[in-house]
Amino acid sequence: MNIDIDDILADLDRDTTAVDSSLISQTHNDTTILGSDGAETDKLRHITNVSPVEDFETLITHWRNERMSPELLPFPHLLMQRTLRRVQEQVEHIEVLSMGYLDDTGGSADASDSRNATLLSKLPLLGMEADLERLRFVLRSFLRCRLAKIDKYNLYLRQFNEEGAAVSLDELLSRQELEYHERHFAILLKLLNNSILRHLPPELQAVDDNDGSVKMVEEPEWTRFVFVFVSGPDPKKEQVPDPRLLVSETTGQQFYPVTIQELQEEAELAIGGIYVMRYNVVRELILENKVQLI
Amino acid sequence: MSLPWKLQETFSPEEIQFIVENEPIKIFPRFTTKQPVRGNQQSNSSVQTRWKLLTAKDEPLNNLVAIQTTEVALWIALLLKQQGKCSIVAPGWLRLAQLQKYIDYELKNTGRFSELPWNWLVVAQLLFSKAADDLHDPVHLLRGKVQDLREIRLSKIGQGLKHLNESHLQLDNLSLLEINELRPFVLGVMNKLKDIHNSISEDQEED
Amino acid sequence: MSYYDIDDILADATKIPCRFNYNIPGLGYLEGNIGHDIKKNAKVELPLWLGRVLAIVGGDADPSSVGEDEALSFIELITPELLAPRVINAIKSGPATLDVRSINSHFYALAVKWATLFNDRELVEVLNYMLLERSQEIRNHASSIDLENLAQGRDPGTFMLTLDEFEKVIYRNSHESCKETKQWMVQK
Repeated sequence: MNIDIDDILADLDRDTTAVDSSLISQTHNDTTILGSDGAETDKLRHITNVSPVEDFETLITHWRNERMSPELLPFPHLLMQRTLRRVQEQVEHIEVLSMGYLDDTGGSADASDSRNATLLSKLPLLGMEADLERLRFVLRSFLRCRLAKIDKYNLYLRQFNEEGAAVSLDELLSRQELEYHERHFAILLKLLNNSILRHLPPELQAVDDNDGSVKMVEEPEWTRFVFVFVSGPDPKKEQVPDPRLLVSETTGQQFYPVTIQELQEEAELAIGGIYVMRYNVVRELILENKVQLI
Repeated sequence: MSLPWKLQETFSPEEIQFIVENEPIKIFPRFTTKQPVRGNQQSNSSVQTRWKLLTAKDEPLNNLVAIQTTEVALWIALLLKQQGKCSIVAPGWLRLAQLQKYIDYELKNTGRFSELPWNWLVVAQLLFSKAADDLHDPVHLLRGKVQDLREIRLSKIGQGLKHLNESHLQLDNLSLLEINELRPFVLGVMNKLKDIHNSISEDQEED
Repeated sequence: MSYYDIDDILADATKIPCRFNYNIPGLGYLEGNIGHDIKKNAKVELPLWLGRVLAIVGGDADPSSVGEDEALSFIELITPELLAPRVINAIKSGPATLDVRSINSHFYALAVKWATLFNDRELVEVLNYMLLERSQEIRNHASSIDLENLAQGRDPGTFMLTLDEFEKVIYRNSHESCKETKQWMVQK
């Protein structure tokens, strides 16, 4: 990776906002809406104290889990709100800083001393631009991965609310994703209708018939194998010992007991261990962030 | 497609590198950013731009003192190194003698993997190509040892994969890049074993 | 396996020999006798998706007969060539070198369907053994660069030709993964 300061400055002139700018303005709206609700404001105020680095680490975990899980995981609304706001602020901050450099690059020239000084003063900008790009990459990849799953599970998500799920669809998806899903479904259905379904007898037109031997609506493969790392509870966030953690009598090691239902088999997930497990066995531990997909 | 199919069930090696690059590493900076505590503003002819980062800690970067070690994210270390502004403190395990110990351990213990850091392969490769002059031993020798270690572990993994089953597997001490390389094979075979065994499992209870 | 899984659909379309337990008027076209009846004990090859249904549904669906002798299903499924004892023995004696594709291009999928139909524990054990043995071979091929193969006089092409569709997917994905990792290692 070769980073040239001039490239970066040139880049800033173009619109490199890979994250849809409407997304950002939208989140600003969210903030004001949430602000009208007393309890939510407190919650928000409390959470805004999370440092950017902590948030980035959480985002990385969300990103990695999302990439490797068969199902679409709940959208981290507040985390994304904070992160997108920070991206926006940082873009503006870098823009202001780089304007200063554009002004004084013409003057001082040859002396290697002054060139060194220029480089030193530009280093933070170089770093900040790379830092922003890295954050944007994770955001982009995370959202793309979610879009791919929203496409894949289009019909399944349509039926999501009927299935008595623990999370409602508008919590599972962001507002933009919800809209994308709605419209994608409408387009898909129109295409299927126009090209095939309307030429078939009415009784064969269903695309969501789940009564046959194979369900027409594709569900996530709940029992698919995944690689997991068992981190255990985060000591920074949880002071109370996790009641589900047991201690092995032979090794003295802490572990989560899990059951592989299909085989009626017990297994142990030792803290610090790496396993290949069926997703449904570790799903709850993943949602509680005791186990991460790797 | 919003996400290339290739990336839908695995990571690319570059993405693994990205994840590893967020880990901390020690550096010797060649410049100072720490502001003198009771310094008068004139001593600093040009006011330094402060580092303000979103993905990594920025305090260490705003408090650098030349030749005093500090810890920064690996990608920052590599960026500073590229600009000739720091040297990187190679981790203790990245020495010929230490790598030989790991190799010995791998050969002696067929059922276990040595406790190399989870990012060893990526860190080694990155430092070989971008900070060769900061390593304790000649880079071509280190490369050879790392390659040996990788191959021994790969062949051990091959042995272990004979025990794939439909239930679960424990693979402690495998590094992220090694896991990623194995992923399609291990998951593909285990998912099929699961299907094969599922074909009779439903009737098991009646037996 | 999803509703639109092409390999599953192809596997289900494989013809399986069946024996009819009844004379059925007008079905002669199944064995090429258009306009005629099909006779009891006639042997006809039917796609698995059809055979499966006819082998489960009884000829006597009259509810009054419940509790009497078990009604015969319309047809009896006959063990197909691809799962004949000869093949099972060949798997047991040398799975790694077996040309599975010449037996059937959807061998695993079909065998699993068969095991499900007959709750065939022995077949499951054979498949388990076969998959583990052959996957070692697949991994060896997938992780070695083509050049290495050629140097040892092995032609990766012929090996590929002995794999069934599922094995090919495993091979391709593993090979891709090893290649990408190697490329990354070389570039760094």
